[in-house]
Amino acid sequence: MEHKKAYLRRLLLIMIAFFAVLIGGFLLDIVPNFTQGLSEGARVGHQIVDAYEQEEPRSQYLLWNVPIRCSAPIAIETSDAKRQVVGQLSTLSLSVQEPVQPGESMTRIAFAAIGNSPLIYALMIGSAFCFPVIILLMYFIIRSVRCAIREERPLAKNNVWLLRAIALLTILSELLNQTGLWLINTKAAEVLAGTAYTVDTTFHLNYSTLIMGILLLFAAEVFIIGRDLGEEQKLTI
Amino acid sequence: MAIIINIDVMMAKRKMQLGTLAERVQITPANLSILKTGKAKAIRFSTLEAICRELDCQPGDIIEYRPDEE
Repeated sequence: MEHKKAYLRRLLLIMIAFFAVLIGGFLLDIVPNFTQGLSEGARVGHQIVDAYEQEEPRSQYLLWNVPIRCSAPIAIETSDAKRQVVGQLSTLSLSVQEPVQPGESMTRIAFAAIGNSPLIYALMIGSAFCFPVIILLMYFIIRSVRCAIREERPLAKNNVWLLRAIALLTILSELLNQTGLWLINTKAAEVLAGTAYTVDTTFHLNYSTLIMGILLLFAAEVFIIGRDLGEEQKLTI
Repeated sequence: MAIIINIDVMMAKRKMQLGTLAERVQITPANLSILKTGKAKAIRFSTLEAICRELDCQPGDIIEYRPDEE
């Protein structure tokens, strides 16, 4: 195979970049968020258990990053008297406590800790679960391409299915996440009804993520066309 | 496939071995085998020319069109 070394070198660089981003993202984003979420979850869990044991069962749920529309500007005093700073609230993170019907199961209360609905909990967990699967599939693809080049075998056809799976998971995670956020915002609008805060309950989508998913589907098609052309070329005598 | 390759018939007529023809046509025996068994997707004019030259035949003697029975 011509340029074998160059292909392997480039794939090695991609592999190194992949793991560097993975480790960086894990250390700088996932670990702090997970630690914060864990302590917050433990705090909420203990409060739920305490209330349950005192026979005054209360549900406690979180509504985070709720987008607020048209809130009044807030003047912020700084150490420099000549400088005027005005802020505006754009998001609110809420913690809500409500009494529940006596006899309500603790499991149901616990799984309603996000947005007071087990469905929102499931959507958020489902969305988060997509990412490790995507990372695993990406690792399989890079490893398979490297093996194919090293052993001078044709590229495996299952890479196309792995790429398609990554694309669909990317789109699915975005849809699950945004549906969850929309349900949280809808719940927050219900909770904040009659207050000075108006919640933006429009359904938003992160179009760059969707485009990335569609681009991956396109890449899978390019991959299979390239593979078929290569096979045809190989069978031209 | 409706295209039938009759290289083996011509090789038998000329009493030529697969290895010998492959060597004279300058393709690998494996590729000539792919062609002979009808697994090839396409044939280059240069290969066809060399085969016809070595087997002293016309392209029609080694490639035949037989419609599929459907």
